[in-house]
Amino acid sequence: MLTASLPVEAERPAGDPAVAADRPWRTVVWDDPVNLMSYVTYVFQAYFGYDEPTAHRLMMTVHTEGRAVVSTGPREKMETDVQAMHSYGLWATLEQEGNE
Amino acid sequence: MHAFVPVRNGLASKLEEVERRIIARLVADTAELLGTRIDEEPGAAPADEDELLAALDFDPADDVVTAAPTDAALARLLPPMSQDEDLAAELRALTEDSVRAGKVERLATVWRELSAAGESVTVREGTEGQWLSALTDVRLVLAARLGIDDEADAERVYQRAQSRTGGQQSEDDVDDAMATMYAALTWWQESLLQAMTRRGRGRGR
Repeated sequence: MLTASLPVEAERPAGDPAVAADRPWRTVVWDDPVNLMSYVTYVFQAYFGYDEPTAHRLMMTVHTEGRAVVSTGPREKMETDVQAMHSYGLWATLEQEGNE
Repeated sequence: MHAFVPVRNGLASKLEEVERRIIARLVADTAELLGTRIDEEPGAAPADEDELLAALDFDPADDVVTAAPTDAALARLLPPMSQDEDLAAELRALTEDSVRAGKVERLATVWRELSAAGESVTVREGTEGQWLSALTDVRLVLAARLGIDDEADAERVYQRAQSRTGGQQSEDDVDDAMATMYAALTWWQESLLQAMTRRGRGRGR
């Protein structure tokens, strides 16, 4: 239902509280001193299906900036993605665009 | 401990008996920290290993599903899914059991291979992800016990592992041993990832 209503709702002004529920969510992976750079790259390829250059770029963003947005979409999908990252031992959270 | 090399059914690493036993214990203890015993027979491990593992201070997992675990290592294995506390509690109630169960299942797969007889340990084709996740969880627990919070802490632990000397008994012995295991498992995991990359490149040609 959320996905179906998204294109229409997205045209309304961003500050409108009525659209808050429909703003996309995103999965953020945070830097940590334990996970290997090669492993983080592997996880981004294996789970999200990103190609090696994309996975490597996202890993470097996590490493140098402390965090990276690795996926965006409806809240339920982001919950699944964050849960998967935790299963891999990466540290991730979901957040809604405009709420960070 | 040897680097992983390709074998018929996967990637294999030669381990000393004591290395295999210690890694198996760490894997089993990580599962126990998550609330599940995977090694039903308490092993006849030498006393120094018992001392080491006791120092890891594993607490049995509790059943509260909305609050973050109080144990630092368990909290790192099961982190909040949101920076918003209410949302984090809501999501923990929905997902924590499943994340726990998945981790225990992967640790059990790895534990069974480590407990099998033989000179080398084989990461069977198709189980690489399970091994990498399980080794990560074990390393996260050791890192929490060693107080690794940033890159500088990690570097200190690697230095400690390298400069470790035998002889004098001290309170630091257990931490030294943990640092050595952390460094060794890091090297071992990296070796597995490199072997996977080499195999992938070989097939790509």
